Amino acid sequence: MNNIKTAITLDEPELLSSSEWKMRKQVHEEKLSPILDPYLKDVLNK
Amino acid sequence: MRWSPGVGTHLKLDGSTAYSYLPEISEIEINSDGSSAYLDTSLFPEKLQKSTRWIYELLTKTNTSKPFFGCMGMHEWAMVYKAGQVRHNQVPLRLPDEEIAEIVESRPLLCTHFDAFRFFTDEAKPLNKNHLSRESFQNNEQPGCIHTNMDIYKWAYKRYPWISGDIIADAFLLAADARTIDMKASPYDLSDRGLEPIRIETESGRKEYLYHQTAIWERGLPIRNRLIEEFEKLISLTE
Repeated sequence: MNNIKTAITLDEPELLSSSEWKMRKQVHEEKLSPILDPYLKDVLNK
Repeated sequence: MRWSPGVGTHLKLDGSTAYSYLPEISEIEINSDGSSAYLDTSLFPEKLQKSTRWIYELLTKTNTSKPFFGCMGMHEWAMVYKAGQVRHNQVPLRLPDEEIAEIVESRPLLCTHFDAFRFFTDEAKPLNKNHLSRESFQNNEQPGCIHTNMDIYKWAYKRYPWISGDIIADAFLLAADARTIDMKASPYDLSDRGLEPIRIETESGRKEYLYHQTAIWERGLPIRNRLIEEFEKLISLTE
């Protein structure tokens, strides 16, 4: 298993406009904040 | 947990404020004409290549393995079986020790996940039908396991920032839900934390566990597939 050939080559990287990647970044933060925010608040209050 | 674009994705800096929104990740470089930013794979530590391939092989093996749903979450019970000292001793058990022992002995232990099995008490380990070891870890992993689905997050985060934040977030949410089911099905009394038990010592409890376990499996498959694709990209760009 030491010589797995990968099929993907990346001659052309995915290019995201700033509005696209800002949106992804925002969605990431919004997904996690409902779980992480109460936890961090709990930790910080201890 | 900052968002990362992952490898092979370039971020256009096409607005006056775009630069200030870039994630604060030290491996992000800006190209010579200042038009886009990207994770510079030349900064990927060479010492991580071997383990990256190991994780990739583990994920692909797991995804092609047949899921198994017959364990009924007994691993948490095996971790306290005839224990002189309980692992999470700050949390009360919802049943007396003798009753927990009876329940463990009434059903076969069918754990496939070494990182759960290694916390079994010495008395419980011989009761497990599968012989598990660190060396055979990859060969026993299967996608129906609640802990294996939690581990998708672990493997994704181990290669942060090279794995995208989109996958890490989805894997994290899956892990949080899987851990909730895991703990609800345990012998611990977590009702003061809002976790009503899934009583796997009863038939209805086992049905409930099975329902949640299959739901976690179904959610885990596409996330693991996306993670495998990102590991393929990472390996192709760094070896």
